Amino acid sequence: MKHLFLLVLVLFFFPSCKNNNKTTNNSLYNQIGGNEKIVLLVDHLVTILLNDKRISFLFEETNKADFSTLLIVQICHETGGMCKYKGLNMQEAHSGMNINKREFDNFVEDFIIAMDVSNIPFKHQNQLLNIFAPMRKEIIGQ
Amino acid sequence: MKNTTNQILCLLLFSQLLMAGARQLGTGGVIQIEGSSGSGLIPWATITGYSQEKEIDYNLTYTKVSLNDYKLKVQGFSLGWNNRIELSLAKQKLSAFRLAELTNNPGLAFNQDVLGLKVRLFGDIIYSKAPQISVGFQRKRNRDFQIIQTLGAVNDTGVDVYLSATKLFLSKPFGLNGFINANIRSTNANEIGFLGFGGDLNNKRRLLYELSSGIFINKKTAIGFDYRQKKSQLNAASEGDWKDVFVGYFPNKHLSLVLSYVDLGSIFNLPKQTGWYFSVTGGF
Repeated sequence: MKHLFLLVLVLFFFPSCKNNNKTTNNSLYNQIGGNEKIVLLVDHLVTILLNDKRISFLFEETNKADFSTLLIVQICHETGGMCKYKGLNMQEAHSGMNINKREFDNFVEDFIIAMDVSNIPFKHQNQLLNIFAPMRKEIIGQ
Repeated sequence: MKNTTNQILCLLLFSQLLMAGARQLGTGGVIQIEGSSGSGLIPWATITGYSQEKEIDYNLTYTKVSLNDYKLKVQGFSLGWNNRIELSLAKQKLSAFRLAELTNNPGLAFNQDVLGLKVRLFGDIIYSKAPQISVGFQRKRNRDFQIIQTLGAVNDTGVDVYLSATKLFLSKPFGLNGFINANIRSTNANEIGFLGFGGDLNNKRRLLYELSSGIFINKKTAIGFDYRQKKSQLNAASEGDWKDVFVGYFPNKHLSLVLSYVDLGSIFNLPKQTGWYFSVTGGF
């Protein structure tokens, strides 16, 4: 039993050398296919969001082109690309929308579909989700 | 070109929207042998199904475990509400076909009903830094107490209480999504209740540990293991820890399948109870 615990802890918490997105050559940005892939991903994502009756109302007052650009720059920035996201922080960006946990989950589901149809492999999908998952607390209930 | 893409996207989307809760695939776990959401042998802190705020999910489960000298069948119903509360019912039948032969008692079986309640206290399996923490109760009633009484069991009913912590790690380890679950359970059950509650060696509640861990190797498939500590309290029938290795498959939010290889140790003095575990759960 003790050995099992140790094995499990080592597997999950031993620092991995691969997860450094900051070095430009090996950044997640480059791994997923750079700007071209991110533009494609965001294009798919926005199309899906605007067609998802569960949450499309959240984007009624959103300018599609501006929203796409912001998403592209933000993903580029967060994955270690050479962009600098200068938009509102997540709390400000969602203020007054009162997004609940269910709507957030709907968004994540759409994001995963968008990654699927953009042919982003599972491991890269997980890294992308891992970057954006911690933002949930700044997005819901604002 | 653009139009076709859009049509594909809309179709894809539509297929995902057919009446299921909002949470992501696999995050409700499967249904374990006592009817609660978890992995094969132990419950997790998860709330069954995919319900999120203002949603409710129902599941039906059938589980079959074929051991060397026993056959276990479980039918279960469970309900998850608001990703907060889980209610479950399970009817378990442990057919003791070898003992039936040995004692010339055809049809010998140990039947038990389990009523489960679980409440998520705080945390989210994916989104909070800390694990998701839940408290659960399993009220068990053994329906074959006459046989068991002769072994030294004290009660035909008992309540297990457990505290459970579950965490999923995005892109860890190996870029995949790993998960760990740990429980501490207060119980006085013999063989999780199949041999009644309390015994001649011990009649007090004990704290037992349970552990489960694994990895989602893709969106739909998880592999892992369970470990469930047990302690003997019947002089006439010693018991050992339970373990398994499992594959769970989630083709969509309405169906999950589990195949595992279990080692349930010695049951009622018949050693080496290993075998295959198969479980199917349908939900909407």
